[in-house]
Order: sequence, then structure tokens, then C-alpha cells
Amino acid sequence: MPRSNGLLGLIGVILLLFAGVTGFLTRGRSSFDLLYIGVHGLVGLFALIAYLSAGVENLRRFVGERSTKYGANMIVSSLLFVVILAALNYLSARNHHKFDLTEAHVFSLSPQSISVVKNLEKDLQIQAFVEGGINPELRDLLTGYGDQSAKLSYQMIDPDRQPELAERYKVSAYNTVRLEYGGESTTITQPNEENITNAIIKVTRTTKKTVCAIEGHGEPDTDELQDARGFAAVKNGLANENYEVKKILLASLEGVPGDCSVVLVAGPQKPYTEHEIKVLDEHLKKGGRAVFLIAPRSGEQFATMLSSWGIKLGNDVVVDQVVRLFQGPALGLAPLANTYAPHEITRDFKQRTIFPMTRSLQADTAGKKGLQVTELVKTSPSSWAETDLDGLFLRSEASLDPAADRKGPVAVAAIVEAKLKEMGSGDGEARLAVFGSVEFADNRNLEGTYYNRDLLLNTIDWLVGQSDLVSIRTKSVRASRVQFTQDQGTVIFYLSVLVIPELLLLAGLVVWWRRE
Amino acid sequence: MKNVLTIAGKELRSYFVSPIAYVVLTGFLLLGGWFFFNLLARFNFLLSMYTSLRNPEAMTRLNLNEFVIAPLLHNLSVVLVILVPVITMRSFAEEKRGGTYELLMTSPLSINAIVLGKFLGAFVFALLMVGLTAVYPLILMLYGNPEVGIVASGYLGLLLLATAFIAVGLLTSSFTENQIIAAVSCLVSLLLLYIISWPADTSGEVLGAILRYISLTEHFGEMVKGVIDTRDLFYFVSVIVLALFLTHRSVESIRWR
Repeated sequence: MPRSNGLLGLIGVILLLFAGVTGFLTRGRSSFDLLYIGVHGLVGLFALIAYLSAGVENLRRFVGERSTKYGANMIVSSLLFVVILAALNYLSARNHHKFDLTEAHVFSLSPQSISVVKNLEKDLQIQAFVEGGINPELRDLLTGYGDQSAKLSYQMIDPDRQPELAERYKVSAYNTVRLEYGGESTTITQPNEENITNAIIKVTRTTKKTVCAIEGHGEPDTDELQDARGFAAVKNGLANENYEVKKILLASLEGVPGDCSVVLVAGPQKPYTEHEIKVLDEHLKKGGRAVFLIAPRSGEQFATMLSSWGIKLGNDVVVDQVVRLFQGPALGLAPLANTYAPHEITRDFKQRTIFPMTRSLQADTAGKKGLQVTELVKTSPSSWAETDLDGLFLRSEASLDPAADRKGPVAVAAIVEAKLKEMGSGDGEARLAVFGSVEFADNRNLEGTYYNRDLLLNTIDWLVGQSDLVSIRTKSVRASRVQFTQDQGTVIFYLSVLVIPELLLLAGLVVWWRRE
Repeated sequence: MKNVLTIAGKELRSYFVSPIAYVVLTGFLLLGGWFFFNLLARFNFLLSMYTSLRNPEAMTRLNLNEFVIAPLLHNLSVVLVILVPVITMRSFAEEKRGGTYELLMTSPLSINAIVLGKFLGAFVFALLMVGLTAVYPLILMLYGNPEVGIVASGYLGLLLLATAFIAVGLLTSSFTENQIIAAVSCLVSLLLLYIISWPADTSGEVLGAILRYISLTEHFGEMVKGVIDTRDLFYFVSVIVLALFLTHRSVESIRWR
């Protein structure tokens, strides 16, 4: 076989190889890719054919040679070996076991998470919307979940490259994780093990919880989407967490319907009838759950009832004029709050919530048994509870009057746990939450800049007592220290940087010298 | 087995009678010591800074494993990518060049014994390299309290990585009689295995998973973090076995070529 002919064959193979690799890497997306692949493929093929046809005789002889047989044998057996190894690796990757040598088992899921995942009955899909589709830590965490059950699968999504998915699932921030199980779905915005596990618990729970919004007194409409004062955002947020929101006209009912997990009393403009107040009170006394949003200058009839449950409604409006700095000339009627009581509702809460047009609340359990009241959210020390409402609303004036006004921080949200047995009215536990503001939860503020949504939804979760939610401490490699004196530091430097390499170098020199 | 040990012994001796072993070891430990001392100094600086700032949250995150040992092991692994080809380049290529290859091949030694012997010799050398750097965590344990489990798992990872590198080095050395070509092709292969997972995050689920799996760094990184997964061990063993198998085939081919 002439040498140049052999070269032609070799060039053909190389060109075809480059065409193949380019096709694999670029998938022929642009016309240049196609040109490159096409030219290489054609020329390569031509060269190979030329080589083969020029020497059919040579080829026959070449094929007949012993070395060709051995060579082919070697290639085939090597390929077979690679295939077998790849298959074994696939199996080992599918059935693997992990040993976490960190002291706190940082890279292992907690037993709670494992049992939750192992109990999955249907397929659970997790979509993580992260910047650029890359978040190694979150991926490791989700892989940990995936390792526990074949029913759980996850996907990392770059919302900028797949905006249609982000739009469809209303994802507006990076690091949002969406879980879908059966027909249910939920999203979380701070993906860590605790939140993911609790989200799984939420979506896998089959019974729907119902929030009953009382209507008939000019309450904000839970179907009103356009109006900033509407409550559709509350409804959507709750629907996302697996709640159903139902409107009820309490005046026409004997009692609160049995399927109401939580009763929502949101900003009544007109007074409730005595019957309605009585029904609500009885509902609570039977271990019911309710949330009250009572704005200033409204719902005064609730004051008596709520005070029997340990909460005193202030007849005032909370003013915090620090806000003026950012909002121009204003009275400061939208105080921001970032002081939270330690409670499972506000655990890990570091963000601010806004309470526009809010009254103050006070725990008042004197002489009442079985009540545990927590002042959940407090405004800043620069705020105060303004009692001169005429001055405020007629003359647009507000100033701290130390005699009448309460100086901040003042509570604007509070929750009550009532042990009914100790109160002498039955068995079990009643829970209620009271907010001093209605606008706090309207369309504009619930989905706005602040964390009102998380606060309200966490509160409702707590009210319905989702006690199977677990708490998992975030784990990390334990802190460790090193301590040495200046002199010891010098020893370390000499030993690690100088002495050992020096000894090796000297040993080498000695060996070289002796051999020379 | 006796033959394997004989060849391994001869191979190891040949490293130490030539200056290569000393140059490689000196260079490796010089770099290792420099990494270690500077990482330690940086850790101490952070420690004193957070102490003076009274930042208790940052203090709970400061630990020797993540701030000193993990970066040290990652740096050493990169140095190994460069130095291992230097160690293995001669194993077959020099014999071919020096004419001792025919002697070896016509001796009653089996090809298995030759390949395994040379592998074992180089492995012991790598063990020595990695073993000598153990002085750094020992210093840390003497003066501080790192998590020993993570250190052990990281060092096992480094040793497996070095062993896999050596197996690949033997393979490239068996292809050629030119030591430079052997070293460079080994270096390129190792670097490729090292960085092949880089596009994994942006190249789709299946391809991404495959690229990540093929990459040495991903498996090594897990072990540096303190996680020993049977999947990672199996991967390293597979790379070693595959490279040795192909070396065997390549050496054998001289008999019929």
C-alpha cells in the first residue's frame, strides 16, 4: 500500500472524528456549525472512500493480515470492557450508599425528612428556579432528597432562560422552589431542608383546609383582584398553600359551619350583629380558630369579645414618622415593623413587614386563666400609638403626647393560645390571631415589597395547627480553631515550607553524588 | 505475585536512583507547604478579625476543615495533575527508548505482572507523596481541633485521585516511546477529566449528569467535603481498572504488531 494512500485514510478518519465531535457539542445550531460539520464530514468521507477504493486489493490483504485480526480483536474487547464498566457504574450510581463523616452529619438529611420522603405515594416534582440554573448547594440538597425515593425528581431551572415557566408558576425571585404532588403545589422562597420538608408535608396532605371569610359588613372582597384594597391576593396565597377560601354570611347561620378550619374577620365597615359576635365567640369556645383584622375606628364591638380572650384593642393609630424620610411629607401612618416575638410563626423572620393604618394591641391576661398571649409583631421605638384621632384625621397632625399616647415599640399583631379546660369552657385549645390593620393584608401590601404574605400565611398555618410540620436545625461543620504562639508559628513555617522539602532535596543530591 | 512485587521494587528503586523522584517530591512538598502555611495564616487573620469585630455568627462558621484543609487538598490535586505525568512518563516509554522493552517482553514475566508491578511501584510513590503532606493536618490537630473524619475522607480522596492519575499515566506511557509525548498526553487527559464537568450546569439534565459523573473533580470534591459515597469509590476503581486494562492491551499489542 503506498504511504500517501494510507495518509489519505488517516486524514479521512480525523476529519470525520472532528465532524462528529463538533456535531455532538454544537448540535448544529448555527449555519456555521452546519458548514463546518458538512465540509468535514464530506471531505472526510470522500478521503476515506478514495482510500478504500484505491486499494480494494490492499484492503483485502490488510484485512487478511494477522495483526489486523488482533487489532480488531483488541478494539472490540476494549470497547466491550468499557461498555461493561459503564453499565456497572450506572448500577453503582443507582444503588449507592453514602457515609457522612462530618460530625454533625451536615450532608445527610435528618430522620424527619427521610421518613417524609419515604412515605410518598405519588410522584413529587420539584422545580428549583435559581440564577443561571446553577446552585450547587441546593442541588446537593435536592439530590439528597432524590436519593431517598425514586418518586421524587427535581429540576434546576434558569428563570431567565425559561421565562415562560417562571411566568406560569408566578415565580418572581431567584431561589424559589416549587413542589408539585398530584394536583397540589406550593412554593417556597427560602429553600433549606426545613422548608423543603415542610413544603412536602404540606403538598402531600390530602385534606383541604378551609378558610371561611365572613362577608356582609363591607369586608374587602376575596375575589377582588384589580382594587388595591381587595383581598384576592390573600385568596391566591392561601390557595397556593392548599387552602380553600369560602365566603360565609354569618348572619344567616346558626353557627360557624363545621368545615371552617379558620374564620377570617377582615376589616368590617359596618357593625356585626350581636348574634354574629355570639356565634364567633362560641366558635372559639369550642376550640375554633379565627383571625381578626380590625382597623382603627372600626369593629369596636370586637373590643369586649377580644378582651375576654386576653387582647386589648387600642383606640389609636400607630404613627412612625421615621418613614417620612423616604416618603416625603407624610404623617407616618404606615409603620414598618421588624421586631418579632420568638415564635414558630416568626422563626427565621428577619425581614420587615408593613402595617398601614394600624391600631395598637396589648396583651391583657390579668385575672384570666388559661390564656397565653404573644405580642407577635412590634413597631420601632420611634413609633407611638396616637390617641388624638380627631387631630390626626381632621387636622392631619400627629405628635407624641406622653400623657395620653403610648410610646413605641407597640404591638400591632398578637396571637392567643387558650387552654379551654383552664378557662372552664370545655376541652382542647382555641387559637386566635389579631392584627390591628386591614390594609396589611390587601392586594397591594400582601404581595408588595414587604414580608406581609409570609407573616399572614404562617399565622394561618399556625392557627390550623399544622403540628406535623417539623423543625430541622440547619447543620454545618462545627467551628474549629487553631492556636499557636509566635514561636510555634515559626516552627510550623520552617517545618512545612522549608525543612521537609530541604531534606528531600538533600537526599536527592546525596544519591546523585554517589551515583556520579 | 512475587513477580509483581519484584517489578514494583525495581520500579520504585528506579525512581529514587534518578533525581526525578527527589525533584518531584521536593517540588510537591514545597508547593504544599506554601499553600498550607498561607491558608493557615489567612485563617488566623480571619479569626482575629472576626474576634475584634465581635461577629459571633461569622465565628461559628469559621472552621479549619473548610478554610484550610479543603482548599489545600484541592490545590494539591491540581499540582498532582501536573506532577503525576512526570512520574509515570518514563515507566514504559523509557524502556522502549532504552531497548530494555524487548528484554522485558521476552522474559518469562506475564504482561499482567509487568503492568501490575509498574502500577504498584508508582502507587507506592504516590502514597509517599500524599503521605508526606499528612504533616499539615497533623500540625492542625496538634494546635487546633479540625474534624478528623473530614480530614480522613479528604485524604482518601486525594490518594484515590493520585492512583487514578497514575493508572492514566501508565496508559499514555505505554502508547509511545517518547517521554514528552507520554507526559503531555497524560497531562491533557487528566486536565480534561478534571474540567469536563464545567459545562454540566448548562447542558441539560442527562448530558449534565453524565459530564458530572465522568469528571474526577466532582467525586473528589465530595470526599473533601467529608462524604464517602460508594458511587465515588466505584468510579475511582473503575478509572483505575479501565486504564490498567487498556495498558495491558496496549503492552500486549507489541507481541503481534
